[in-house]
Amino acid sequence: MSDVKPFSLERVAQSLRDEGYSCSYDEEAENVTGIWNEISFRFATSEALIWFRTSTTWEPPERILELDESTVSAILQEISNEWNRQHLQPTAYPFPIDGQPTIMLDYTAFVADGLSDTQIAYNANRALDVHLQAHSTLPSLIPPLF
Amino acid sequence: MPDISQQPAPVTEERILAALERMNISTLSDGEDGIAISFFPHLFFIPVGQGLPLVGVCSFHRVFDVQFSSQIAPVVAAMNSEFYAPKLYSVVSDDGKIQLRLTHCFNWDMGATDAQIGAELDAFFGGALQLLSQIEAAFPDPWNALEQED
Repeated sequence: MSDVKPFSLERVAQSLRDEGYSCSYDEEAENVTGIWNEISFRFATSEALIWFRTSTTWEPPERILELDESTVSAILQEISNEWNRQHLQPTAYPFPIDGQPTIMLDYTAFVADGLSDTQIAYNANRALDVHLQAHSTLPSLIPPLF
Repeated sequence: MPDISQQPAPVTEERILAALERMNISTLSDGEDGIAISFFPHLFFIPVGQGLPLVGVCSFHRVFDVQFSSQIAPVVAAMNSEFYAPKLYSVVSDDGKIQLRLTHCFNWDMGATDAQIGAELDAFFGGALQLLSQIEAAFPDPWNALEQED
């Protein structure tokens, strides 16, 4: 027997609070949000509760944003690919927000068959860890000429 | 605190093989390195026993000349934006060829039930085959196209 129960964002929020993290659960928006190390985290699910996704965005430095649009796009694709090649999680890809080039980072976990409390706590903690690692590593992946 | 005694059991090679058998998916013998599964023309691999997180990996069955890198990079980025899993990335080999690889990190580090193992394998193969099919559509095999014209 195991304590696997249906997955819910409410359980994620409770798990984060149990670990001492302050977060907000928005039932209407269907997400859990929190800010740690000055990084905004968003926890959400795919349709039909198949995937659990933790997302953050990384904004490239000004010296990159000052370049022409196609160069910025190519640089962000290269940084994302290099991260994805070297690391299992999170997945990185260029994603403009309000016209501003950014790299979206997604930690994705399969939850369709439910999770135990320990599995939820593990995923929440791992999501935080790998996102923080990505944010500290991405600047070093900027191609040297820029 | 969660009751550790009620946690799902660790995921082993034997349990993955049993889940694949229940799904009527046959595997290829691959010595001690892991489990190989063929969905022709694609070969999937689940490395086991290497002390690493359990992942599913696959490479697209064709490679591309490096001169096409600027056309491939945006497609890779778009697919990572579209798919929850697996993720896709490119690597350049020493002989200047681009290989497209996909990877999915299974959610089994804290153990898993048989149902969780089977359902995630199913989601991985489904997502991966859909992704590989989209790569094929984005970069059709020119020899295949010639055959269809004949």
